[in-house]
Amino acid sequence: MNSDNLLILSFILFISAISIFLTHKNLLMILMSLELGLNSANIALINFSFIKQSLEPMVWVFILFAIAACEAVIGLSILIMILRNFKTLKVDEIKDLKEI
Amino acid sequence: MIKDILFYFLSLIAIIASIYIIFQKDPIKSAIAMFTVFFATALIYMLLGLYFIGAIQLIIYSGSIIVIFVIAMNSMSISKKFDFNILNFKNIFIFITVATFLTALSYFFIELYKWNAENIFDMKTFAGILFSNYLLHFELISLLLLVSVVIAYLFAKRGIDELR
Repeated sequence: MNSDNLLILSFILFISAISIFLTHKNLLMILMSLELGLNSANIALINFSFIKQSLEPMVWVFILFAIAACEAVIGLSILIMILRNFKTLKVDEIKDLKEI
Repeated sequence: MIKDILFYFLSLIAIIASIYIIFQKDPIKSAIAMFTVFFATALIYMLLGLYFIGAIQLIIYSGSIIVIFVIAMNSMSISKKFDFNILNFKNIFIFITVATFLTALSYFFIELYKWNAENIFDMKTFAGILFSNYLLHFELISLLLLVSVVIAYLFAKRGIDELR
């Protein structure tokens, strides 16, 4: 268990997050992939904290937790508004901007 | 030795669950897989000696965010029938391109840094850094939480007014 393994885990999680973001067509899955990407960023930050022997990346981990929670709340409320106006959550079918 | 085996086991669980989400059509099942990823990540943090970060990960990610997602899915009632096809040419091309690029980037980072495995987390030092150097960021987090609460209230209020 050394630096390589932790960083490789972070990058594999980020690759799968980007794959979910690019291949799925449901807005809910896209929002969940953003959460997964933030989680992999946390793992990479903790690895950098071990590398630099410093606690400052841990503070950024703490900040990223709050940002992830706020992003989930605001994104889900926007999704509920979209579902109420367009009656769908597929990315291909949401084309109009002026109906809101 | 046992820590190495546990670390590889938890990492394997996280990777398998995150790949399972790519091929999954049902949002509820992918939310459960996402919970598995966050839980395995929290256990890895605790394995490294970062008990506070692991507990926060358990509480915020797997405790609140996944529960919010599942509740929103239930209120939307959309848990069936999306058309989704992973095995066409465009999706495979996107996956291979992103994977190659990020693997090259990760190899660069691995060659750049070396890691010294020893526990450095101290709660007192952490709070000292958080409340001295990063005090502005901390206050901005509180402002962000307030703004998100107000936005969620406004959206919910507009929906209730339309229902009346």
